[in-house]
Amino acid sequence: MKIARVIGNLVSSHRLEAYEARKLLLVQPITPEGEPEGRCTMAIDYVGAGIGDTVLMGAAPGLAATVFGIEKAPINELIMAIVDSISAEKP
Amino acid sequence: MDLARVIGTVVATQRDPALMHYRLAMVQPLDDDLQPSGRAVVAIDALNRRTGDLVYIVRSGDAMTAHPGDTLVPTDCAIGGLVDSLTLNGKHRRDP
Repeated sequence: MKIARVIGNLVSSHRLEAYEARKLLLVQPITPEGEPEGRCTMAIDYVGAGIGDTVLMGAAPGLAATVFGIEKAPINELIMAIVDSISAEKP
Repeated sequence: MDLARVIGTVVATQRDPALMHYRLAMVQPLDDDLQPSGRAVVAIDALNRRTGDLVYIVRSGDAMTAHPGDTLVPTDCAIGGLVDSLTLNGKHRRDP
């Protein structure tokens, strides 16, 4: 799982049925220190996150299907939690 | 999942039967400034989008479930939906 910051959202009325009415958010992966790392990506929201939130993003193949019991889940990244705080020591 | 622009169509008369009923679209992945990023790929297009549309794409094995119904599509890239408008880094834009 990755830590990411929500930096945007998008409106999409014509979409695959599997996404139902879930929120689509644009997220920027970040380091534990909060620095952007890698490129911005789109994720399906399952926890009610919003712009500015730090979130936990899962991205393993088949993850959405397993965790949420969705039979057909054409989803690469999904937001699984909103992060309250992080403490990490530098290696 | 990435933002992408539909930049064309792929025609393939002879193809695997499992691929038979899908439009194949050329899509160009975009970065967060909506500028091209990386190389263009072929995506299954179950939504019949047009060239020039701003869409988002699903990659890897997850894309196999992109078609409603029981069938799995033999693909590693599919169009997930059309972007009507988006807010990114505080800027709101509607796709031209």
